[in-house]
Amino acid sequence: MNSRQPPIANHLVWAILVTLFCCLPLGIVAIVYAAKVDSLAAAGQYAEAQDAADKAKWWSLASAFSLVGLIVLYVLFVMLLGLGGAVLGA
Amino acid sequence: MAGHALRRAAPALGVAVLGAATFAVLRHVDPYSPDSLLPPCPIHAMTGLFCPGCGSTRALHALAHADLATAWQMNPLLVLALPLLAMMLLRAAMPAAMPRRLLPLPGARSWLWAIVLFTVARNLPWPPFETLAPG
Repeated sequence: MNSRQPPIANHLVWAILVTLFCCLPLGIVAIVYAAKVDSLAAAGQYAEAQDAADKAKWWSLASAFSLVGLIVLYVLFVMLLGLGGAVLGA
Repeated sequence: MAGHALRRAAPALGVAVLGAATFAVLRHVDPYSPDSLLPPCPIHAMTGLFCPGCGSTRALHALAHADLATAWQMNPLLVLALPLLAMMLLRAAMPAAMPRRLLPLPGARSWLWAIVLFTVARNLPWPPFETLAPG
């Protein structure tokens, strides 16, 4: 049996992208897990590495969805302000 | 086999499409305009602190207008990160074209240090660190 394990994707690109564009600390958590993937895989702990890879992916997604949620809230807030201003100004 | 290659290239293709869309939007929308619909950084709006992503929109806007100096002023880490991220995506899409030995790219641990130090530094209120803050 061949013991060569296929490399486990650490999803680092997504973690960096959400950190630089989502302004949320969640992206940092994703990078921490991405770093764990490589060191665990290097130590031969493939199940743990896969688990860290899944978590890195999850935190990147959580960060991306939080950004979408915050933008929706922000747009609602701006619209409410505009509405309030229009009502008060009238 | 073709399906496998496509699967491997999907992230790079997806980011390329997103990047082209962002470029098109930023060519026409001005993030400096007070009634711009582009969102400001929520972290900075809520806490007054600069996060690693603060200035990213303005940096991309500057890059879309070929203004590297302004982009660097807004978010130097983003300017440095973009070509590295592009190479990481290309390597994932075509591992044979970019062998690890010829082109070593920073690993997750280096990125973590860079981002954490950059975030702390750009919030320090004295020179030279204040130049790392956007604006």
